[in-house]
Amino acid sequence: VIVQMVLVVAAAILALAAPLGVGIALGLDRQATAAVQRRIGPPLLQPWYDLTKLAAKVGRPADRLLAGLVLAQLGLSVAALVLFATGGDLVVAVLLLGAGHVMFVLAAASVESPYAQLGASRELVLLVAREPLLLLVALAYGQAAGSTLVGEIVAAGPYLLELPTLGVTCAVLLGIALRKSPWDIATSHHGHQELVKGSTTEMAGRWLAAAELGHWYDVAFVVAVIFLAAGSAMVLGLLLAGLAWAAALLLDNAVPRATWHGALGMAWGIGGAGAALALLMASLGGGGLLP
Amino acid sequence: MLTADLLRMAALGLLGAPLLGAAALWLLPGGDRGQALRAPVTLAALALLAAGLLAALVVAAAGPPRSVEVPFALEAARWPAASMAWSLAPAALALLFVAIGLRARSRSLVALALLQAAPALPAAVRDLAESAPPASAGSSLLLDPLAVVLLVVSVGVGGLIVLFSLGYQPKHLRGAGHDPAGTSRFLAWLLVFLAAMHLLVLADDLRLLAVGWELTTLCSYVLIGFDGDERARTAAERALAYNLFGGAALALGLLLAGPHATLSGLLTRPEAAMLPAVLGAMAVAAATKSALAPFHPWLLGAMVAAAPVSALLHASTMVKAGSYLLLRLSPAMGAGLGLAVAVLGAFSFAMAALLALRERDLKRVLALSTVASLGLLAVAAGLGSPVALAAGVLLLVFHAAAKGLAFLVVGASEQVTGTRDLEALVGLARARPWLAAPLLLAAAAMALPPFAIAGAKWALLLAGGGKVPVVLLLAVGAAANVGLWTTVVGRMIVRRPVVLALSGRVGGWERAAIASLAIGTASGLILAAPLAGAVGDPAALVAFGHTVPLGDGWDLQALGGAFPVAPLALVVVALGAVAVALTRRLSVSPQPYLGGTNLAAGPEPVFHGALGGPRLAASGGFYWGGALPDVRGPMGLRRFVLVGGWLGVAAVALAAALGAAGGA
Repeated sequence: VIVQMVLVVAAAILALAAPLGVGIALGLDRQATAAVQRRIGPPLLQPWYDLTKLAAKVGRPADRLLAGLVLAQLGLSVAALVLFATGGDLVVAVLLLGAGHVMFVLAAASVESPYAQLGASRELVLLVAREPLLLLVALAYGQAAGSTLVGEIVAAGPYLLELPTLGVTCAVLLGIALRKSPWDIATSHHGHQELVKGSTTEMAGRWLAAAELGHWYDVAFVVAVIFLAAGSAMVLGLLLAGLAWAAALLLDNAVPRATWHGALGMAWGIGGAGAALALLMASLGGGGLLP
Repeated sequence: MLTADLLRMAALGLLGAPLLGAAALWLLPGGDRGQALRAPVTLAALALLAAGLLAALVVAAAGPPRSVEVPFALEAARWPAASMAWSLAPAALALLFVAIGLRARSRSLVALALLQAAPALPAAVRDLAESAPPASAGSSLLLDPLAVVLLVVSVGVGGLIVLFSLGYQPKHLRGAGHDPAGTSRFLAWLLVFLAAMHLLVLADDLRLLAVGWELTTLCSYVLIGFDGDERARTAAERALAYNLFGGAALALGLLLAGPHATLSGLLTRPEAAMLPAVLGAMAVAAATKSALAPFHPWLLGAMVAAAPVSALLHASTMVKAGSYLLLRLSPAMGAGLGLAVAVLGAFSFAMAALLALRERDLKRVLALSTVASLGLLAVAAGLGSPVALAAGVLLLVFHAAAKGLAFLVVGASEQVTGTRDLEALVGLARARPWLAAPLLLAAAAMALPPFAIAGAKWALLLAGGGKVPVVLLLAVGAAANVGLWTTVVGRMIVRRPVVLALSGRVGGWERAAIASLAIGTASGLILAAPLAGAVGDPAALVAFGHTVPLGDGWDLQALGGAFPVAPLALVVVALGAVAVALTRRLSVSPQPYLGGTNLAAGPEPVFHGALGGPRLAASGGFYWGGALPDVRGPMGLRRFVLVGGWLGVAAVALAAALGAAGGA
């Protein structure tokens, strides 16, 4: 029992520390993008420099409710990842992550600024675009493993041969989580585009840092969902996550920003098809959730 | 002996008290004296109703989950005259509907009423011919855990809605240019509605079920058209038309079921050849009453009625009658019919939520969200497993509380703000926090974990398991539902300095009803699992004869998964407390970003216009215009939902016909 508790605590701490990895991965992402575009690019730790600098600033957001909602978003995203890491129910964790996303949309919508309102509505599109995909991925794993508990899913993996099409859905999910094109409608890192992170317009200083940190936990969650495909083979998981990230990066550089119709259609069309096929294969494979 | 007395008291309180109260209200004198007596009479009726419910609860809690016969004064098995009356009643009501159609000079209503009379009359003649009931005939009324749940919802939520009307309806009638004395008549109809619902829920004899069923149709027709203007009449006739179609299906089911048929008899005779056909007919009837696609237009039209009517139709009675019947039939449906019902429900769930994303009339948003929830309830019934049934019960209870609350708040806010256009209500949560807070609570309860409704959704997603079309639709619907509530709340909380023109305040009766429902809704945060264990699992146990518990102490469990409700509730409450504590005294710089051209330093979004002079920056809401095929495709989303719904109904009919052919 004690060993189990220690493991759970260790997993929770690992989950809390997940942004460390996400920050580095984002740095790598920016360097790779720069290399593709023949630029020098920022240093590896640039996302970290940005985040810590923001956090150290005097925080004066435009509104108290907005600040509270940003905290709720951060807290719910952390809760989702901790539930995941401690072997909890994957579908519940997805619902919690969705709740965190709702809080972020509401935070953006709480101030009457055209930029923030536009950003909020676009975030809402992404929320509706990705929530079904996450749910379906969780259910496909559950069908194949006979349980939706992360612990059981890890134990019954890997799923590469069983649910190959799930990889497509996971790549779409990562693309959305990283807000890469064609799903960068709500945000953009490029100053020349028509709306740069409208949703965070009214956040500032440490509140903006909190929103960004919440987003990193969100990315960590999607990466963790990709890791699940490898079962307990961590190296394979890392490879899969790297592959998915590379696919998202490639797509980002190959495809322009979509309209929001397009973003929704592509998410549901491509990601949904992958997930539906995976579900079909899982239920044909004689798996299924135990009654 | 004591149990029998208690049950007699329950039947009297649940069926007799509302009818008595209605009669008293009807006979109240006009003028001030009548108005002064209105509240005491109503409260007395509600108190008797509550006493009846209490008696039923005592009996239900006294033993293991079971089904108890309720002694009934008008017992068909004992009184030949009563038996004759019950046999004749459905046909008589069908003829009454013909008369209503004639009076409304509506050919379609007359045709539909005749369609209902066509199976109802032969069934009545046959029942009269077979006057002697079989010796084995039990009581006409049965009390079991599922019935108890429906009674609690109907008395609890329905009673609060009646209370709300005491304060709301006189103002509403005055606003519509009528004599506020009509309130007594209005309350009388509400009480009859409750009595009809209780009869329907307790009935085991199919004739009594049909009478309760048709009476709810009649009450909804009267109440939707109560304002008497053109719009109300049209909406009432539309609702009647749809429900007559459903009534025809139910009458057909009765005809096929044979003489002296009972619900319990149907459910325990799976080998009967006609059973699939009977179940199919009843499922179609339930789908119309529950306003599943393609029958949802009647519920949308009913939105013109006063807020208490909407609340009653959506939360505790009427549409819940359909869900109740589906849940009741769930164990007997079998794979084919069950799948058809589940797909029809999941389709309604997803499509209604997508339709709601495009609406900005708050009441229509709520109405479509109700259709979505009723779809989910149909899924719970169609999946046909104990865990799904338990989840359905959980969903039914908390949906009743949250949706009743939402409708009452929208009604109260309409009287204060004069509008229910979401764009006109932007910033309501800032201007009137205590008015908007219950609506925000209802939204959270409908959409977010770890509230009980999210728990039920979770269980149904898992129970959907390998039924790929069902699961796909559920996933899309879950996201769209979260999206629609996010949109509503997002508009409410905008910090907009333009203040709404607010007039008047919310009355005492209204506040009491809203506060009670808000407490009930909020309890979904912690009571999900205990309630699932207390009512959901017993209902599943009685229905299926075995169960796999959904409630697990303070948490939910299903199909190898676990929903840690209690820890998550603690986390959410703690998170809320931390967020409030950290931001309460936060210094803010309220100036919104307007590209560096703000006119003033404060929160007003006023900027230098291009032609000089001040301009107000304002943004409208986002209603997904053109997102869904309406603009681009050959078929609009609305039409798509209707066509898809009819295909679903055809699938239900086909599954029933195939089942009947296979049985014969």
